Amino acid sequence: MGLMYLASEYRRSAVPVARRLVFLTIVLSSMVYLSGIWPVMSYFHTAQSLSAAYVARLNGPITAAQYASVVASMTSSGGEAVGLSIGSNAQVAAAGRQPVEYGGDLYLYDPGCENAVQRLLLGDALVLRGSMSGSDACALDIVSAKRLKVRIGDTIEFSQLVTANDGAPLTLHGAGVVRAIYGTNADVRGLIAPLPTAQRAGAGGADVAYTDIFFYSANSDETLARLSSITSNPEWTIQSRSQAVAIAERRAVAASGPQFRTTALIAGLLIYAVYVLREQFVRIGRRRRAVAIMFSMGSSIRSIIGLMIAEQIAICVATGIAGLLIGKLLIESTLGMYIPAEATTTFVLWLVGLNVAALCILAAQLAVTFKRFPVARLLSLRQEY
Amino acid sequence: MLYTMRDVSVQYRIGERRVDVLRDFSFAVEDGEFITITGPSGRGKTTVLNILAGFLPPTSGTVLWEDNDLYAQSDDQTARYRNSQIGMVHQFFNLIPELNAVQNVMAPGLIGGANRHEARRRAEAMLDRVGVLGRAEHLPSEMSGGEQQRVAIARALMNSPRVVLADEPTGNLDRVTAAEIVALMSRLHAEDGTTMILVTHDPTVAAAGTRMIQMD
Repeated sequence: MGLMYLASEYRRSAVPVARRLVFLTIVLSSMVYLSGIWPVMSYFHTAQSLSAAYVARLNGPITAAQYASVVASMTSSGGEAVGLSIGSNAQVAAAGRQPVEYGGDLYLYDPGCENAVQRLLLGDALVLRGSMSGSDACALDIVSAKRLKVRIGDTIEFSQLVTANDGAPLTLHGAGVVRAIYGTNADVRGLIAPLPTAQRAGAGGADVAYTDIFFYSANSDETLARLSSITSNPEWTIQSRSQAVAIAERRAVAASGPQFRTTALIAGLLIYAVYVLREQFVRIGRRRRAVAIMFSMGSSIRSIIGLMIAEQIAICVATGIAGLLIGKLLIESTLGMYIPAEATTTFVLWLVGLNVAALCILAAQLAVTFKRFPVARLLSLRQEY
Repeated sequence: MLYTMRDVSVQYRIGERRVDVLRDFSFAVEDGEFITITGPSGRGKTTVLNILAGFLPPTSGTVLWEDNDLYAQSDDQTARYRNSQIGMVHQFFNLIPELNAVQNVMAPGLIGGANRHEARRRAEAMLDRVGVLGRAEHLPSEMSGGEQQRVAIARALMNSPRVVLADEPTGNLDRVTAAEIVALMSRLHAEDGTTMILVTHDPTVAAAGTRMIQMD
């Protein structure tokens, strides 16, 4: 009887039913997407390596002259080199960890300080921009630092878009240890040695300690030989693209934090459950009359509830599988998009748009849910007759 | 005795106030009777039907079905009782709007465990018997009040119940249609010997029964 009723109801209201199923699928897939997208967001930073077959990496001393040779080799590689990035953690890393104590403001190099804060809040890697000179350094105040849980002695990672000497854009990846400073440029310069400073030091013959260079290449052996030859440095290592991507993924996942993702996924599933319950309550509200008639004809409350639970399980399985698959598909599609973190406006707008859309849908649906939550009606079901 | 009601009272509480809907009501029904219960509004006629149908446990008193306490049964037993022993006809027909006529009539059969084919065959026979087989595939919204009530009667008789409980079955129909429905119920009673308990405030309808109970 129940199946006949459901079949008849579904047949006669196929469009609204389909709309509800699609809606539930969208809710779950968007939640899966939003919870799964965080690692992907960090992953964008490594997207450059996707176009390279191999990634050569030097983590050690290099002079400015050697660096210039590496840059020059890009243009003479006949298309072999597909990208270059360099980061310097310089003296800070050498200095080692400092005692954890707040003596004043923390200074980080970022003329768009709010942007950096926002990125960190979003779980993204910190993006530093600017010429890296002390004059356009940006202060990260103690309050923000505490909020971001950045503490003196912490190791941070960053990426930076700069213009190299030849005018080409370069992405710098770096890492360093946060130190307490007191607002002078000298202190700021001591925090992370900026590239121009490093180059000036290199021009004077000094090595820049702990420089980290990634050279994205189409050929492993030639690249290694070329780079070793240019820099006279045997410390170059080479990774295949898949190795580099795997490492980057691990770093990205670690950066986004498994706890955060688990929390996000649980929150997503809870939101989905609220939607499912809302759907069912609305449905029960609409079927109140039919349920009462069935009750009068000898259906037990247990069988009616059983039928609705079975229906709900079927809907959850159908929309759940579809939602998970679509969410996964969206994540994988996003992975292939390569939205560079350097395209800040596009990137941020995209992120903000996603989050705003999700919040709007959530707020609107929750409002409707609680407005139409017919618990009282359910409780009065037995008094229908 | 089919039914025995002894000193049955029903009270509602509205805040601190107690409302007596039915007070010390007693009566008995024998198998095969056609009883009409009549009286002014608010005297508890529908309440009596709801008690007999197993919907409304009385505040005090006993209700016996074939000498067994109707309200001492389990929920499952009560559900089976409603499905197989009684059929209900309502003033506003109470057909399931999403189901067509034959599906509505099939419903008690399917609930009772009949297979779909058998239930459909019997439902069509019932519709034929009440004169609306031609409307078998129509939704309730596509039928007149009289036709809907005939479908409701067919549904009530689907499982060959011992008793049909009818609550103002003509209350929502014009005089001519009402007379047809009463005639139909009288005919079915005469043919099957099914016990009928019909609530009405219409003296003409009340006169159709073999026994009239006046609730004043």
